[in-house]
Amino acid sequence: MSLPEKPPRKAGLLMIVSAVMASFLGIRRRNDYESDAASLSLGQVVIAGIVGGIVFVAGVVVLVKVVMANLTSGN
Amino acid sequence: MNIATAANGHVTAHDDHDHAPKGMMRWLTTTNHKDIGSMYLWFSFFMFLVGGCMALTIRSELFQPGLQIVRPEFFNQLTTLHGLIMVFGAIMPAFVGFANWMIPLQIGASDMAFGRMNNWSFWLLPPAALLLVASMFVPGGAAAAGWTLYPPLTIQQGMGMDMAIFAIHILGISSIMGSINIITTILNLRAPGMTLMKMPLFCWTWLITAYLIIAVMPILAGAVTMTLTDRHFGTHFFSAAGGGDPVLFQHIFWFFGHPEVYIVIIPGFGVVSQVISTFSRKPVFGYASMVYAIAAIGILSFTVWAHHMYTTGMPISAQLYFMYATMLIAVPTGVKIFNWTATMWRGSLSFETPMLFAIGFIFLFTLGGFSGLVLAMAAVDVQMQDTYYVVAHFHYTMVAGALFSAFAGLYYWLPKWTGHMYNEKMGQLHFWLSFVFFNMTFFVQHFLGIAGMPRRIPDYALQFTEFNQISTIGAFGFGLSQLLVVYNVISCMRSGEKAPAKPWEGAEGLEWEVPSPAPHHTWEVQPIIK
Repeated sequence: MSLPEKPPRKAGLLMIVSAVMASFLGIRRRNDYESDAASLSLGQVVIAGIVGGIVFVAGVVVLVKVVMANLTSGN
Repeated sequence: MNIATAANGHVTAHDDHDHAPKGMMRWLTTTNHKDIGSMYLWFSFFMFLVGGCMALTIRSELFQPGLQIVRPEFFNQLTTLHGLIMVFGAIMPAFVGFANWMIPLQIGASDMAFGRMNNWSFWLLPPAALLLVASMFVPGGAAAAGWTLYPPLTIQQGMGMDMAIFAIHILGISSIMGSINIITTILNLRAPGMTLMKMPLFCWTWLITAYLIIAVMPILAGAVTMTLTDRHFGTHFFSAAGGGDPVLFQHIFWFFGHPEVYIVIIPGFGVVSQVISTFSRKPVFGYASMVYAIAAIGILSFTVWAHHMYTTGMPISAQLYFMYATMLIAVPTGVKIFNWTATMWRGSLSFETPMLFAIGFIFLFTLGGFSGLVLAMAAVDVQMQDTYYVVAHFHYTMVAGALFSAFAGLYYWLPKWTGHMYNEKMGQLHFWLSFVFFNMTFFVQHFLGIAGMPRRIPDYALQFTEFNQISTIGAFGFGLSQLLVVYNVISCMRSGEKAPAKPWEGAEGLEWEVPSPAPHHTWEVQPIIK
């Protein structure tokens, strides 16, 4: 007798974020990808990707502000 | 991938029935994805030759300093039309041709989702091409502002500019319709069991490219429409004299233009992934990583546009932002190079023509990527902007990148399309001649650029002569080498050795389950993927 199949785990926020961050780096472990495939929906990924893009831009802007502040204070 | 064999009984005599109507009307009215794919491919190859002839005229003029062959005004028209024709008339339609032929075959669909729209998408191309080419013969000549169409030049030129604007509108409509078709086909017509993450990478790359096209083509259409209203309807969007801002155009153009770079290259990534996997006899390394990275590039490509315009005036903080963002977006692209290399690692490699072009792609595209990183540094770019270094860089990505991957795909799928094998020796000769002459043409242009030779100028200082002569000889060698592929394809269609359904030992995927040549109708009964 085979065991009943477990329903796919619902994706948590951390899992979505880690999938998007992995995509920005371009590296994903097979196990992580398989659990992504089982529990993430396309809509979640697209929204998280766009939010990730905004966070990426904001992160670079903050980095630039820090660099600029150091530049001006160095003078 | 397991395919239920019961479903493969689709190949029956009626699949290859006679076509009605016959002759020219067959091609004018066809809704068949294979017919339309073939037309896209022939059209793009013809435009590749037209754009190539323009490039050879440019290189002939640059063989010596001074003006010998064309007037400067015509030289500017040639550089402009060469760019527009190669990007919109050759590379993009070539990959749409691949998509039309291969996506339904690869996902087990009987055709594209919208057959008539597919027909219209193709038949919009010839009028657009005609407008571009015919614009050379109108008063004032063709558009001569460079393919980037920067004002104020675009506001001042003759009716050739209006024809170019109209051509871009038409090409944009065609691309958007093609993309809607591709997205709908992939999302709705996949065979049972063909989940998104089981799709071949070529389909994935096209899914993301199609989204990019729909996102950015309207932006280009908006930019050229604003140019049109500036020219004829009294607006001053880009006219400084009327309170407008020419730099605004550059921002809008490159917000389209940078994703466009990825539109051109991403389907090539898909082709190369499949070719490398087949001839390494291994599944592609990091399939999921590739999908994730390509999707990420699709989003991040919108955040780096102004690295094309560091010298047009922007605050240092903006320069820093675009420099950092550009460097970072190189990471997911770079990872793909490692994935392809890892796919080959300890594989059972063989070096048929498609594999040679794919390896040539990896090697030369990486060089193009590195010179892109050099240009991404704002401080360096101030020196390099509008020099031949930029010309060398983007030809490494467009020719050795997009064109080489298209040749890899052409040789890879030609047996499936025609039912015959091409001449392998001639294919390999085509690769080696293209490889050597490509580098002869474009590698030296890095040195010319570093030494300060400006692009889009028909004359140059004496010290640039030798490198320009090498480049011109290389260009003619490269151009003439392409006649080999014409001969090889035609002789393959007419008299090549009969190809089996799966001519490549390591090939995987649904397209190899149907006979060669692929019958006119395939997958009328969808296969079941287990």
